[in-house]
Amino acid sequence: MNVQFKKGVLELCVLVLISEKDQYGYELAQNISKRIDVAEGTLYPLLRRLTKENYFTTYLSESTEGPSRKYYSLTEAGREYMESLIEEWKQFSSGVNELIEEAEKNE
Amino acid sequence: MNKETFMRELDLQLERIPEQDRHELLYDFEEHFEMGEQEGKTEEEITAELGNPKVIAKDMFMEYRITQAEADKSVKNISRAILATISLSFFNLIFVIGPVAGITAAYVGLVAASIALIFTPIVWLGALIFHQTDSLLQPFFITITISSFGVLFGIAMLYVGKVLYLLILKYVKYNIKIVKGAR
Repeated sequence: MNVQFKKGVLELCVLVLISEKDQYGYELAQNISKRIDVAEGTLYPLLRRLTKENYFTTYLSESTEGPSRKYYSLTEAGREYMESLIEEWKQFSSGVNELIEEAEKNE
Repeated sequence: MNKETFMRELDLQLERIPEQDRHELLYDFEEHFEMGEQEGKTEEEITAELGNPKVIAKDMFMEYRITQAEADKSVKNISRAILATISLSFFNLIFVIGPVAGITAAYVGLVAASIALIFTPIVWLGALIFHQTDSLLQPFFITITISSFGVLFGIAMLYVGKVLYLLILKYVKYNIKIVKGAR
């Protein structure tokens, strides 16, 4: 898929996944790349930016094995932002789908 | 690519960021490698999933510069943020430099004008020294009036400068969004 296009949608995916449950970077990367082919490294700058904009808060949690994990949690502002993005996405994707369907019908 | 090459590339691209901040940025990736290895992945598999370190670093560097320009408002910081943005894409070279240079030039012109007005009494002083004219008092009051107008104008320009700073910062961020296709 087109890289620029994917970057925009990635933000929405990250918000949605973290709204379900708090996650740490690696876990999030695995959950996203299960569905979408994405360069996982780009997630970290994105997470940092969304945290800076107060959409996420972070906390450290010790784990039984390996290093302590930095968890991301959605804030109230983050939830509002996510909802507005979902709305935009739904309008956008249904518009595109309608266009495609019409074109296919006319063929 | 192995872990060492990947991390070295990131480090190299971010070398202009102070040690402590850079270390924090790199830590996320250290953590990522450790967890991937725990799951039995090789370093090569992990770097392949992470993607191009140069692209990732450029993204982080620009973000860092913008955060700096927001936190500590100085001409140096905003110039750095603009430069980092430009390095992101050729598109930005045209769409950022153009408006920013235009606005900055206009602003510098206005500031220069206010400074010139402030110093008009020097002209009167010159007249006093070199020409023994009859009416010295009237020009004196005129130049003093012009000078005080210059001071007020200059103060107004200070406020305009602050607003412009924020506007440019906003514009730069908007531009990045466009380039990244976020909106």
